[in-house]
Amino acid sequence: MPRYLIERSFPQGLSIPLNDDGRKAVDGLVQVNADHGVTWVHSYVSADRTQTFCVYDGPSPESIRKVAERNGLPVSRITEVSVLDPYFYRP
Amino acid sequence: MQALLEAASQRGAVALVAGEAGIGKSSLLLAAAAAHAARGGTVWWGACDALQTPHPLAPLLDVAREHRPRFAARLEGPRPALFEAVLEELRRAHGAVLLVIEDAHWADDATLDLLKYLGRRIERTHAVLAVSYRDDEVTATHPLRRVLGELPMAARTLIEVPRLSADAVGVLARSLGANPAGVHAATGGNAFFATELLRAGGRLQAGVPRSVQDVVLARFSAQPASVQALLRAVAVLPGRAERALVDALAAPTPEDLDAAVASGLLVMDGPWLAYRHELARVAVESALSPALHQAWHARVLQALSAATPQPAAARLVHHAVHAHDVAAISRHAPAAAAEARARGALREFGAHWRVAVRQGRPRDDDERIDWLEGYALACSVNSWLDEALDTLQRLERLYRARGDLARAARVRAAQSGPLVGQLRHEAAREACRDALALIEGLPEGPDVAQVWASMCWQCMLDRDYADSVAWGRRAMALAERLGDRAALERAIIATGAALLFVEPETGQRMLLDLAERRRARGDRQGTAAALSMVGTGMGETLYLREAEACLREAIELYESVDAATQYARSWLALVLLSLGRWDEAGAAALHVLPRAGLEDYSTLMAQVALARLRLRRGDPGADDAIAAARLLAEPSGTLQRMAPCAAVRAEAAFARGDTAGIVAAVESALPLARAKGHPWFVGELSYWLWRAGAAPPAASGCAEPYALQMAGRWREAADAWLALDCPYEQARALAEGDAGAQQQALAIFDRLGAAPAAEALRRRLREAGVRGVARGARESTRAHPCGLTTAEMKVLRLMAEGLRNAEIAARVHRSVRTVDHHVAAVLAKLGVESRGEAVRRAEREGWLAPAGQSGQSGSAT
Repeated sequence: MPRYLIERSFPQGLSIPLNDDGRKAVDGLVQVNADHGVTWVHSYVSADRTQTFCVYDGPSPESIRKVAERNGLPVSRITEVSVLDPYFYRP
Repeated sequence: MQALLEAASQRGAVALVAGEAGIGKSSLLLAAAAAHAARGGTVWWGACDALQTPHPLAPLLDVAREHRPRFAARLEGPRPALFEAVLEELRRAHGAVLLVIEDAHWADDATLDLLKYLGRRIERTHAVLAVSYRDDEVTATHPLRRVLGELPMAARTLIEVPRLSADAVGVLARSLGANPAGVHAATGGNAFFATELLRAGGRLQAGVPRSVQDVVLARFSAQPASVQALLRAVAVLPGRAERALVDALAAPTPEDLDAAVASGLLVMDGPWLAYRHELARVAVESALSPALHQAWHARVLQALSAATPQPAAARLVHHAVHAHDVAAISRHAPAAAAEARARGALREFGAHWRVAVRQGRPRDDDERIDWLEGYALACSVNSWLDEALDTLQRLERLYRARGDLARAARVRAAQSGPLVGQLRHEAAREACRDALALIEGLPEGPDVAQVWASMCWQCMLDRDYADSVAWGRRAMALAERLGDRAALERAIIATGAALLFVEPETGQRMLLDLAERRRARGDRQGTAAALSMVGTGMGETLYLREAEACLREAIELYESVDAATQYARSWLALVLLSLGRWDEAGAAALHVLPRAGLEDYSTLMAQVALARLRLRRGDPGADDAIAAARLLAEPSGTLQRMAPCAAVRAEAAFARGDTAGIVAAVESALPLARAKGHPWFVGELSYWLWRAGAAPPAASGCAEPYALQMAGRWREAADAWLALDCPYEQARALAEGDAGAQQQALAIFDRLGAAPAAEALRRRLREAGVRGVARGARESTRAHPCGLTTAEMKVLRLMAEGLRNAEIAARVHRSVRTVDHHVAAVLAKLGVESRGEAVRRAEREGWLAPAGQSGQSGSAT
């Protein structure tokens, strides 16, 4: 399954409360993702919390947009990516 | 399951009971059925069987036999009336009905159509349609998978039967007084396997057996010879076996029967005998030596042939094939094919003809020809292209050998059908030319009419409109004189389609009239074919609204989910894309891709739609889609495939600033488009050459909006695109205009989510020193999911209050017509079929907040 990096903007800043509401919100996202065969791997958040860079596995860019819409999340750009790290060329 | 049955008094539902063989699907359904019956509920039970080619509508026949419902009277009649009668009975039943369709992975085509028909309407009944299947056998291309995909999400519940945990196996072991050690690990928690293993208990000292087969066979070999004979007889009878038949085969004593039941292998249920599980039956049957296997099936065949009433032909074919009885195959397979066709089970119709042709022996050449004609028809309705071509070629040789040139010509011309399906248009044209040469000088008869109809069809596909219409008129006149409706309607469809490109109104009227005549005589499939032809032709000539309506209706009417449906859907994707409804376009294209054969024109058109969508959004994957489309389009050598592929290649080359790439793409199709005189393809391809600066504007032969745009008349071009409902093209024209027009273009690009075009335009505006360029819509949070406008959200809220359109209109001070429009737009954007569904979805997803608040939950990433 392809892996995608999704860039999102939150001009007002992103906040997920660290309580039960936050947990429920995230659970909801994961359930919607699962309906479309999409997995949220993890995300990086900019220091000012206005940008996120999210790593997702999914069957197609269309499925990524579909779950973003259902979850009410913005999408600025989707890029297909693969993993490269400093040990990539070592056995 | 019980929850669904309780809710069924409000709303019916589909329960999908999925799991591997032996996991406990039947046990679960039996328990649910027993509980439902104990509460006084009605249970209808039907099973699909493991015959080599299944018996059409077998589950419905089970229900009819056991419960004598009212629809039973309609079983032999036409299918639409039968399906309606079943639905009506479910709708009117007192209390909830549990309708079980077991083992749907073996379902025939007619049963699959029934599942689709009932499944899509189940919410309006008080029934639970429980469908069990082996999910590990239902792969992406399995016919059942397509049906499941067509069921409304809201109405279906998936019940995945879990494997037993180690603790559960322990409980089971205690109840059987057995030692659970190692059993969970050996069976992976498969309920049937675990039970068998535990029951085998101490007798299997030599370690844990490797498979279910070992366990079953160990138990089998422990039986005396007379019981083994009984077990073998039942093993060669898929599904359940009639006691009388088993008596005729193995003459078991009551003691033998008791022993077989006591062994845990068989169960007795009134007049029926069956293995406790299909896996056990298969284990015993597959352990028979080839000679014994053949002999047992021969005995079954003999016993069944003498039975009254005559058993289903499909059942006789199954045993005849396993008995290698050529005479019986020759007798029963054509009858089974006819039965399958009458029930609308198209795949089985073809499968039985295949058995007849490959394994039967016709009496003489006349019969051989009858069979091959039947097989050729079956292949063509199933889109089995290679087999269709091969069969038509065999027929051609036979007719030529007999000197029957008229029929030889008809089947030669008919080869153009599968050849076009394989995207081999040059070979298809050659087939038609050969056929014309063959009928030269022959008297005008039905075969000649068919050859002319084929010519008309082929010229239409290759966009030689004038030739197509000329052949069509000859074919229609002759067919009318002969009273040959099949040839007449073939010619009408192709002529009407050709006329769509030159006299759109005439062509449209011809095709829609034909659709109405077919509808009036109850021919759904034929109606859909005519509507699909209007829809695809009008899509190619940018009558988008009409195209969308026709394609949607065709998709709804096509019953069997087959190649024709996928083609209509691939065009729906292209049409929606042009209409600016990109989410829906993507969903339609992706719906086609895993389903179509890998090398057909539905795949090709869906890939073009997907490539265009991804390019315009700036999403990854456009190049892959283009490569896939090119691989199919270029060898076809035909305009209707090459031009869309060339246009999207040019668009991709433009996006990466590759002028040479644009020129190469355009040149691959523009000369052909000019030769055929296709203004839309000429226009689009010329437009890209002009954008690339590679050619001066050449407006001749171009459709008007493109000609206007190249002439620098951007405002008129934008208006023309607006009138055609093409927002992206409209914005592209406005982007050529003055500052005000460019701001308007930016707003449209942002609304569509056309990031690359919007970004490029912003850059140009900033470079030109325009201040205050609005930042993109993408950068503000999206207040309304699914792109609903503020007005549409307001209407949706009022819908949720249960108001009717007239009441909503009064509240928002708008006309009822406007509200009708808003409601239709809400349903379309949400991808739902009813108001209730729209409101439910909005409530479920929590964005139906009271007026004034935004729908954004404001959380998470």
